[in-house]
Amino acid sequence: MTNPLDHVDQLCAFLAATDIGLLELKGPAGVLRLRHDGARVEVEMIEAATAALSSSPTQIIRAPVPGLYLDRHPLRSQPSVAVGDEVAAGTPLAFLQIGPLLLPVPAPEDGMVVETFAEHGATVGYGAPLIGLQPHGSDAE
Amino acid sequence: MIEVLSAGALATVQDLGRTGALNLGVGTSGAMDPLALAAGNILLRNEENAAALEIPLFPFRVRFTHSTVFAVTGADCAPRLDEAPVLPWWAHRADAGQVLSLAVPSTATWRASRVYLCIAGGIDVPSVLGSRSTQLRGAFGGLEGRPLRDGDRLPIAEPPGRAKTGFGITPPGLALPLEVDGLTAVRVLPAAEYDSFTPSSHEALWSEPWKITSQSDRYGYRLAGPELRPQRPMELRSHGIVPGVIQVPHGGQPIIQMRDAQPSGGYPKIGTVIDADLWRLGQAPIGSRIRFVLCSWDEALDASAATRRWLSNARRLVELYCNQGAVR
Repeated sequence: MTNPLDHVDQLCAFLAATDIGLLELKGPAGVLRLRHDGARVEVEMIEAATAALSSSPTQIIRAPVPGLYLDRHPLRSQPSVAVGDEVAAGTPLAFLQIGPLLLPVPAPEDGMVVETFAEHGATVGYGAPLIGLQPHGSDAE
Repeated sequence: MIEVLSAGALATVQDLGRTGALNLGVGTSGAMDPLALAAGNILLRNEENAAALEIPLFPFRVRFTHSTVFAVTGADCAPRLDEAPVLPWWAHRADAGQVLSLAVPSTATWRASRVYLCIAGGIDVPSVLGSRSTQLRGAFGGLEGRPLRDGDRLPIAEPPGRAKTGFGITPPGLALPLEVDGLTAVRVLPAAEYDSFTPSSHEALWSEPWKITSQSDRYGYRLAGPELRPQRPMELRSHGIVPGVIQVPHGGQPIIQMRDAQPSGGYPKIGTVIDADLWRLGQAPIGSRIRFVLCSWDEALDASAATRRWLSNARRLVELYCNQGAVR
C-alpha cells in the first residue's frame, strides 16, 4: 500500500473539484486532514506520535439528516455556540431545518467546541461535518 | 396544573376563537396570533385549537406542579426554565416544581409582541359556546372570564402522551413575511363605505404609514396617521362587524377591530384587514407603524390557503418526525 502522503497534491486537486469540506485519512503514520473551504485546500498532517499524545481527539459532529444548516435559532441574532465554548452533553449546538421542522445538532458529550465546518444557511447532506468537539475526559477510560 | 406566580397584566386563556356565535351577539375572541397558537399546538401534537396562555406583558412566571411538556411560541421572550435558558418554538419537558420565566420580548429578528405558552394536552378550562377563549367583554370563557392573576391555578387536560421533546418548529411569521418600506404590512379589502371617502383619503390609506397608538388592545387598534374624510358626513345604523374591519369615526383616525371586537358598530368602514393577516396585527407592537396593501377577494383566499398549507405541512413533518424518530 502506498503512502497517502505521496499523493497529497492529487488528493487536493480531487477535493477542490467537489463540495466536500473535509477529507480525513487515518493510518499508522498518523492522520492526514485536507480541509476544503470552497476556494482552496489546506493540508494538515498529524504524526502518529502527536496523535497518540493528544489525549482527546476531536470528535466531528455530522449532519444526522440532510437539511438547511443554521448556526443559531431562527429568532436569534447570534450563533448558539462559538469556537472555544464549553458545552454540556445534549446542548443544541446548531440546527437543521427541514421545511418548518427544526432539529437540533446536540453535543454528544461534554466538551469544547474547537471548530465549525458549515456556513449558516448552507444546505448540508447526510453525514456532512458540522462541528468539531474536543470531548472532556475521554482519556479517563 | 400550572400555577401563575407573576401574571404581568392582561394574560388570558385563548384558543382559536368562538366562531359561530356572532348571531347571538357574542364576539369571537381567540388568540391575537392564531398562527403562533396553532403552530405551538402542532409542535406538541395537540389539536390545533387547544387552549394556551396568551401573554402580552412581562415579566410572566408560572410553576409546573407536575411534569409537563410545553412550548413557548410567538415573540422571543428569552424563556428560562428555573435558571437555564430554553429555546423558543421548541418542545420542552418541565419537571414538577420547575418555574418558567418569560421576559420582555426581543424584536431583533422579528417585530413581535405576544407570547403563547402552549401545553401538551391544552389548558383545560370549560368550553363555553364551543370555545375555551376568554371573552373579556362578557366576562365568560377562559379562567372565570378574566385576565390571569398571581396565584391562579390552571388545570391541564390529560395529555395523550404523544408529545415529544427536543425539537422545534420555525416561526411561520418568518416564512410568510409581508413588509412595505420595512414596515409590517397587512392586506386589506375595500369595505362597504370605501367609495364614500375622498380620493385623498384613499391615497393616504394605501401610501402612508399608520402608527398603532397606545389606545390599542385586544378590542381594537386605534391608529394615528393622515385624517381620513368621507365626501359628505355619514350616519349609519349599527350593523354587524367582524375582527379586521377598519372603521373611521368622526375624527378621521381609523380603528381596526381586533379579536375582542364587539359584534356590531355604526362607524363607516373603509376596509377590512383580511383574516389571513390578522396575526400580523396581533404581533405588531404598540408604537410600531404598519402599512395597508390593497388586495382582491381572490388574493385574500390565496393568502388563507397559503397559511393553511404552511400549517398542514408543519403537521405532516412533525408527525413524520415523531412517528419515525428519523433522527437520534
